[in-house]
Amino acid sequence: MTVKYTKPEVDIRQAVDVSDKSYGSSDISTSTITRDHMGAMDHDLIPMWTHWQYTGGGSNPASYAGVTDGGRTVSAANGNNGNSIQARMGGTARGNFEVSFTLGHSWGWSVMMLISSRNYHDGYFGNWSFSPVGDRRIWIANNSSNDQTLIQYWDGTKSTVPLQVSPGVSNGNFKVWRQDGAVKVYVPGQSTITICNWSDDLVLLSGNQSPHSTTINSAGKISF
Amino acid sequence: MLKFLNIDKKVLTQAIENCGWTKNVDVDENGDLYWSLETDFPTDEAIHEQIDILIPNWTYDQAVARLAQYQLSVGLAEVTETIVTGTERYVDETTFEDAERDITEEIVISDAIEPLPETVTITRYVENSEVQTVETIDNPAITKDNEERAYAQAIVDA
Repeated sequence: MTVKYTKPEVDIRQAVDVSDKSYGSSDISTSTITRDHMGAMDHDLIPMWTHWQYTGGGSNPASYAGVTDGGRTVSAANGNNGNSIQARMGGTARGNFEVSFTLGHSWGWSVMMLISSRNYHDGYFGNWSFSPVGDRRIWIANNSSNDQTLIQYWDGTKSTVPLQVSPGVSNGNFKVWRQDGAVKVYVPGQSTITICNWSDDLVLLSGNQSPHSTTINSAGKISF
Repeated sequence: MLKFLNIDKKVLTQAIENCGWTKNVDVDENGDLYWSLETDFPTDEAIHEQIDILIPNWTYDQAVARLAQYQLSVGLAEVTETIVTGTERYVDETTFEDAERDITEEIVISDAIEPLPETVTITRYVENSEVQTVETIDNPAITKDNEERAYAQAIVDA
């Protein structure tokens, strides 16, 4: 699914408020233009990487491109634990959704991570020591150095490993989706795993350990 | 148990690879290493040895820096400094001559830090029950601090 979404550069209500009312403002009922209507797409996923965050000093965009394929791939190849980049998928996942993605198979962990949108902030990296009480995270990862696909789930009080399989996936389409509150993951070659019931609006993030890559193949709301 | 701080992440990774470890390793902002749930990873001592080849005296310097940190069981006294903020003229009471002197002000460089309590009390609840047990134990933060300091001291003394 391709979703094109252009945010208005000005809040229409404000523009109307500050303009001369004689410019036809009576044609636009303020009560019909709510933030929910204008920002409905904020609650859908947009299949491209946004909010890029350089790590390890790799903050010179002239030196390498961390996001390619028109925004669908985030990657770094600057040596083991070298300069890198992390990104957030556009939008948030509310209700039923589906994301299809490809994880790299290199030394660093290539990751698709899900956290509650209320816990997201610029600079959030979600490293191994993630363990805030009451918070949740699903961490879907793949690499060649351990040659594993590894899913970790922090449920707010403890960490579990719903999947740890070797060899890792060198080529294949991963999926994560939510159906009626249940978050499920498909790893190529494995049975579908139900991770948990989780109704929060979710933010999806890539990993940040060079070398790594995560490509979004598709993302959006879905009806079952 | 020295934290792996003050070292470039790539250099640290290279040192660990020089120990023969080719699997994934990550280090967080606190200097703690993560081994991707693996168990047969190199010892800290082996990693220190390889780092010292790449960065001479790194381990010794880190041990000295660790010992320079205040002890959690002791705390830290307030540190102040007197600074000159200007000058003023006055009449010397001995010579009755006009003179000039500094106007000074004492500023706090760092606030005092209270020592941590020696013990902490833990209340445990039996699952699905009102029954609780109260236990007093040595403060684990102090225990860890003392262990790290002893480890650093051993490196300096070696």
